[in-house]
This record gives sequence, structure tokens and C-alpha cells, in this order.
Amino acid sequence: MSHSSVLLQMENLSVTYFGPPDVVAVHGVTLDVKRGEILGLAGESGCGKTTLIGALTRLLPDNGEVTHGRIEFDGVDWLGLNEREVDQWRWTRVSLVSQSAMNSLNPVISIGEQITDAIFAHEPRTPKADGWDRARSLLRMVEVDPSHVHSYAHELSGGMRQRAMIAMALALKPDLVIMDEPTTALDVVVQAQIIHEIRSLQERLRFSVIFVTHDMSLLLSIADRIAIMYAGEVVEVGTRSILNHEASHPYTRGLIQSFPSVFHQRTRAGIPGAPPSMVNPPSGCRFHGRCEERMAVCSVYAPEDRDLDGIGHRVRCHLFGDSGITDRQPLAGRGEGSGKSC
Amino acid sequence: MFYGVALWAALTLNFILPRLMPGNPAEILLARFKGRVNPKAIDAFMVAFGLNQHHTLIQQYGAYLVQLMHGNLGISITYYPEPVIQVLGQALPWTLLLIAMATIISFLIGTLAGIVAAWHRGGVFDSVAPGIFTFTSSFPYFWFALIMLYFLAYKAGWFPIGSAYAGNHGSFALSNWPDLLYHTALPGFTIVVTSIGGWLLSMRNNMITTMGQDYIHMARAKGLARRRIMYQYAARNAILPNMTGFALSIGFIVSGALLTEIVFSYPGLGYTLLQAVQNEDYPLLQGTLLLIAVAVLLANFLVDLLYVRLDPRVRNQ
Amino acid sequence: MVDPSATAKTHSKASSVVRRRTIALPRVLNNGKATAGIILVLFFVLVGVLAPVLTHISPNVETFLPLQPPNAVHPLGTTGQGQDVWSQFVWGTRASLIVGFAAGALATILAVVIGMVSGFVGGTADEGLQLLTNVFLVIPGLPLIVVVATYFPFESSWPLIVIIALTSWSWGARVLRSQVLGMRELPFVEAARMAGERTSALVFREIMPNMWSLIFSQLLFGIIAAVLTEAGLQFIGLGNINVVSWGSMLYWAENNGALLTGAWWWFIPPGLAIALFGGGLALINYGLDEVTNPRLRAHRRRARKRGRNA
Repeated sequence: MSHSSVLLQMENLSVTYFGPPDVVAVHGVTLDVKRGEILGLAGESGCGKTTLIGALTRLLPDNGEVTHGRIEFDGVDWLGLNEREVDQWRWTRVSLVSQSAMNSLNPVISIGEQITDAIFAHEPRTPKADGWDRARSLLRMVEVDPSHVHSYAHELSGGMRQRAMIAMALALKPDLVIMDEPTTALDVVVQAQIIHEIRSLQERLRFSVIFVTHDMSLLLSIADRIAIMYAGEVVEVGTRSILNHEASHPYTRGLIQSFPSVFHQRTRAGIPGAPPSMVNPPSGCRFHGRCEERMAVCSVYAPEDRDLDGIGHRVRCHLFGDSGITDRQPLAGRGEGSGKSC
Repeated sequence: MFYGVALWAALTLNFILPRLMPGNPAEILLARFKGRVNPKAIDAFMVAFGLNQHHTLIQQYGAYLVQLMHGNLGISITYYPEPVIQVLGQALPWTLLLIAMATIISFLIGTLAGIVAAWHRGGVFDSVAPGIFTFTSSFPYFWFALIMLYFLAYKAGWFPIGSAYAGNHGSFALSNWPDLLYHTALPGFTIVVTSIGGWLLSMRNNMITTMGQDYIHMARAKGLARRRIMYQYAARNAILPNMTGFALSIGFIVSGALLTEIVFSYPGLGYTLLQAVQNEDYPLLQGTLLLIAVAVLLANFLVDLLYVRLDPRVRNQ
Repeated sequence: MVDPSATAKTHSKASSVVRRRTIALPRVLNNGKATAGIILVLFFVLVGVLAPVLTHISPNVETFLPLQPPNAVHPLGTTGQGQDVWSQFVWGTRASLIVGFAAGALATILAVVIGMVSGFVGGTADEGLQLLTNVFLVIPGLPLIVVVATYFPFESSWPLIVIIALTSWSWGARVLRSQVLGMRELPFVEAARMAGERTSALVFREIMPNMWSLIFSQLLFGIIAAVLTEAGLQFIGLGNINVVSWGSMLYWAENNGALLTGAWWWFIPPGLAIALFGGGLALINYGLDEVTNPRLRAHRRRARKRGRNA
């Protein structure tokens, strides 16, 4: 297996839910996850984050299918693996922490049993007692009293449940942990504790994280790199500091401005309008209907990805295009002061 | 607590029923049975039910409860001079053998079939079974019993045409079991067929609802074996509402299955009930009602105990 | 000891609240199961309504040659007493449906009133009504009716209808109560309550409109249960067995050796009618469930799913 710095590579990935009507929920996504990094994935609900995770974990609903592109995990064609191979890779290579620990834990079997069943499924020769010892030390690692191996989900507090989920996700030392809004359901104080926990564990164990959230300010504090999704596409990706200071796509800027920040004096502004229907996505750039800086070309041609700094700050927007068709003239009376990188 | 109240309600209902007849029950009974029935049987009935004209209703109720605690349910008119309790004692094991077993088997098979149908959703079984069993579950128990009796016992001769045993006396001795099962198979089968649909459909629907839960998604993400996900994660949760449904339907099923006994002349409580009705054997009638009610209550209680074992969330209440 | 109400709570949580909404008829007719059920039920209703048109022979006339198999004059043959089975069937349908619909409706009304009051008022009244409901649930109905019917031989159908309703409302009350409990917490109900709407207004304006399909499903079950109970009762010779109905037909068939003489045309039609009618009602309910809860549909797996992701 190759040991490049890239752990996971998605190339031009498209996912369709077959209807009727057919819905292309993820459209031409190219994105990579490096070893040991936290990649933030942000976007409004319905932008395709969950579908993208579904494709990454190969857990799409029955009518969902990757119709285009490829996913390479540690040099292996992830979509080419058969079900049995995928099952072996699950949890040992990729694990999942999901939004609501309450709903993600089986209510009728104990926490310990849910940790150990993953261990026994993948390491069937583990002696029973060893598996349970590991479950206890995993709980200890996330600062939950190890006696809770015998507890049930309803007996734990929200924060403890989420910690238990994280312990479970780390049970087999995976290379990649996908965290789908792991703190959304928690109150602010507990949220901060969990984030702290995730970061210190990640620094210690050096696993990669895809951290999915709609909370931009959270990503700006935890992620190494951030990808912004809009209407099934990744419209911008870059390091945290680039997105923080040089966010380029009008959507990214709108997203960042819609959250108050303690560090920067930002005027809170929202993005006018609502995300487009995915059944009939808009022509051209999918964001053009809500864009303050739209140009004539935007509603006609879809923009292509463009690497702004040559080291991975990619934007999908005509403001940064250079092809012949680009017409830089903004529509009359709209968005006079276009983006600063323009 | 609930079972205490339910038991009390059943006992009291049993006490009230004969008194709902217009006029004085004691006189009516005497008049109705005059010359037909041994007066001792009527006396015994009146003692058991506290039907003493000189007592107040409260005193009568007290007397009734005392008699009941001594197991005195009066003397059967049909089987005079056998006490009611003895007649019921002979009928109960047969009902347990037939109805209790058939009901449990039906629940188990139906639940399992529901799991399979939901797991292989859209498959052949799932497309065919729910439709068929929707129909069989609306068959009247006794009618399907009649049909099976006619075709499989009378016409084909594969099964005995009635009773629970060959000869005049049934015994539960080990050597008799092949014969007992031979007699019980067909009535049991009709009960299973007519009651299985409910379990299949509700379990299928519970499974489908459960399979949409996050913890199933999580279990799949963990790469667990399909069987474990199906049973430990999906079915283990989906069976809980099915068990609640089961507990609450026992009364309904038993009601239907009693008629199956009648069709097959199967010597259980249903058949006893018919004898009592046909002979206007009030002591036996009331005793049977009481026993059935208590048995159903007990069955409910047992299901409840099992439920507590299966659902940790109600355990610490 | 576990109070079943505790289990009821987890139960109501499991069955998602308010998935049933008011349903447009066209969507129901799109569902094959529901349509089949409606056709079946309508068929029997028409037979019952058109009884005087469908036969000119009185069901009680005993002047025909007994035990004739189906023929041109007697499409369903004759009984052991020389009655025309077709005319008995047609008039029996009418009698059985009347009892079924009336008792089913009455039981549903009881269930709605008790379930809603119990769920909405809460407190001691709720506990009392819940206890009552559970007691009625576990006490087996048919044997109870049998005893009552033995003490009071019924002359008309009305006492029968009332007592069937009295013993069969409890399941519906329980289901409706847990639904109301779930609905009470919904934002729009809470908003109405905070806006100071009176309880009765709340129940009838906010809650009821969302309950119709559930109530309707209780009605369907109520009718099935009533038809089955009546037939069962008459089958053992209780109720008024001289009124021609599906149940009394089976009683006379059984008691006159229809089985022994092989007179299948005598005992098959009434039972099959109960099965088809009940099955029709169950299919309607099943179809409605699928319409309101699309997850339950047995959709076929996508055939064109490609290999790599399968």
C-alpha cells in the first residue's frame, strides 16, 4: 500500500438517488483527506453532505448510487471492493460518529456490548475478557467511567453518550473517523468539552477526521482544511486560515458572515434566498440565483474548479475563471463591489 | 397492581352477572330449573354465589369471595354431582395444550416471518405473504376449522375428526404424546393459520420502522455480520411493540380459539363453555368465564415479565 | 410488576406519532390493496342493500327439496330444511352487516371519547380510564358475551350490538390515547393551548382533524371484530339464531350435519363471506397504512443498480 500523504481521494464523484424523480445529490466532487488531518465539511442542510458520507461509507440508501467518479482509500479503489471486503474495512479503516448518540446507540443492548461486538466482528479470535477490557479502557480514554460498559444508552447523559460513541469509533484504531455533526445535539458547554476531547485524541492518535457540520465558526476553530458544499458541489476548499481570511466564493463569504465570531468584528449577514431544488438544479452555476455578484455567464455555463494559489485553494466560481466565455461584467445594478480577490 | 385490579374486576363481574337478571336470581333459577335439575346443584350454586335472599348485597359479595377462596364454584348441572372446579380442572390442560401452544407457536412463526419479510423487502416472500395472511387473519376461527375438518379429516381422512385423544380417556403419559399430537395437530394448525397474519404484518412493519433507525445504520457502518444486525439490532428492538400487541390480543385470540375447540369437540374450556350454554349450566358457565379470564390475565402477566427482561428502559421503573 | 401503561409509553414512542394525515381519495385509489379492499367491501354492502332485488324467495321458506347442490333455480343449492341458500345468504349479508357496522361504529365512538378524554385530560381521570381500558383489554370478550347472552336470550339485534360494542372499544381507546399524548406535545397544539383555546375547541379543532385516519382504521377493525363476534356467538346458538345471518347459517349448517352430508354449498358461502368482507376491510386498512407511510411499501429493489455499488 502506498504511503502518500493522501489517505482518501474522491475524484469527480457524483451520486444519484433514483426516483422518480431522479435526484443528483452529489455532483462532481473532487476532494482529498490527508493523513492525520481534520477536514471540515460545511454546508446548509440538504447540500449533499450526508449523501457524500453515505458514498464514503458505502452506506447509501437502496435507491442511491455512485454514478460517476471514483474514491480511492489508501490507494485502493474503494468502490470496486465487494460487500465482504467493505465489511472488513469498515470500522478497522473508517468509522463513524453520528449526530445523535441517543439514536445511534441500540437502546436494548449495553454500551459495552456495542463496543465489543465491533471488536469481535473484526478480530474474532479476541478472548471475551480481553474485548471487554478494551471496551473499558476505551471508555476511560474518553473520560467515561469504565463501569458504564454495563449501562444502556438511556442511562447516560447526552455528553457521555457522545463520548461513548467516540470511544466506539476508535475501538479498532481506524485511519479515518467521519464525524457527522457530532456536537449539534449537545449544549454549548458540553459541546466545547467534546470538541476539546476530539482534538486531543486526534493529536495523540493521529487519525484523520472528516468533520461535517453546518457550523462554520466551529470549523474555523477545529479543522485543518475546510471544504464548502453547496447544492451537491464542493464550491471551495482551502486551509482554515485561507478560508478565514481569503474566502473567495461568494457563498463561502456569505456563510462565514452569517455566524458571529468572537475574534473578528463581522457584521452578521445571511445569504438571501433558499438552496435550490436538487430535482431541477439551476442552469450554469448552481449558486447564481442567490449570488450578489452574478454575471451574465453564471446562469449559462457551469464554472470549473480553479486552483487559486497552486497549492490547493480551489474555487468553483466564474469570478475566478479565465476561459474565453467568461464575461466579467456584473449584471446591471448588482454587486458593484465584487470579491476582493477579483 | 394492575393485575390486582383486573383480577378484582373479573371476580366482581362474575358476581354481578347472575344478578343482572330481572327479578330475584334465586327465584328465577329455581323456577327455571324446577323438576329438571337436582335441587342440590341449585343449592350449591346459590351458596357459591352468595345468593341468599336474607342477606344484603354486601354480605352476599363477602360470602361469594369466601367461597371463591375455598375454590367453591358450585356443582355442575351438566356433570352432576361433579363440582365445577373439578370439571374445569379436567378441561384446562387440554386448552393449555391446544390454545396456549398454538398461540405461542403462531406468535413465534409470525414474528420470525415478519423479520424475514422486512429484511428481504420487496422479495418474493414479502410480496406474497402479507396479502395472503391479511386474508387468513380475517377468517372466522371456527369457519376455517370447519373447512379444514371437512376437507382434511372427513374427505382426506388424514386427521381424526375430533376429540383430543383416541378412546374415552386422555392421559398425558409420555407414551400417549404421539396420539395427543396427532389429535391436536389439525385444530392447532387452524388456530395458527388464522392468527399468524397479525404477528407477521405488525412485525414486518415494526422491523421496517426500526431498520430506518440510526443505530441500524451505525451497526452496518461497524461492519457487523448481517445476522447480528438483523437479530440483535433490528429484531431485538422491533419485537418490543409486537410483544405489547401480543399481550393485549391474547384475550381476543383465546375467544376465537375456544370456538375451534367446539368445532373439533376438543375437550377444553371452549367445549366446556358450549356444554354449559346448551344445558343452561350457570355454575359451570360462570366458572368457565372466571377461569378463562384468570388464565388470560396470567398470560398477560407472563408476557409482561418477559418484556421487562427484554427492554432495559422499563427495568428500573 | 410492570404497569402496561409504562410499556404503552415506549410503544407509542416507537410508532411514530402523526404519520397519519388526512388522505386524498385519489391517492388511496392508486394503492392496489386499498382498491381491492374497497371493491370487496362495496360488493357485500351492495348485496345487503339490494337483497330484495337479488332474490324473490323468502329465506325462511322451507318448501324446497332439501340438500340440493347448486342448480339453475337455486344458485347456491338448498339447506337441510329445504331453504334457498342464496336467499339466506343475501338476507344474511344484510343482517350481519347491520350488526357489524352498528357495533363497529358504536365501539369506535366509545373508543374515541374514552381515548381522547383520557389522553387529553390527564391526571387522575386518565389513570382511571386507562385502568378501565386495560381491564377491558385483558378480559376476553367472547366468553363474557356468551355468559351474558345465556342469561338474557336476545330477541332483537340491538342488545347484541350494544354488548359487542361494550366489549370491543378498549383497543381503539388505547391506541387513540397514546396518539393524543403524542399530539399534545406538538408545536401547533401547544401554540393553540397557549393562545388560550378551550380544551374542547382544542380537541375538536386541532386534534381531531389529524386523527381521522386513525379513527377510521379503528372503525375498520371494530367492524371486523363485530362481524366475527356475532358470527361466533350465533355459531354456538346464542343471540337470535332464527334471524338469518352469516352466523346463524353456520349454526344450522353445523347442527344439521352439513359437514357429514358434504353440503359444502351450505357452510362455505357464509364463512367465505365473513373472510372476504373482513379481508376487504383489512386490505383497506393495510393500503391506507402504505399510503400514509410510504416506507412500508414493498417496493422492488432497483433492477438497474450497477455492479460496483451493489
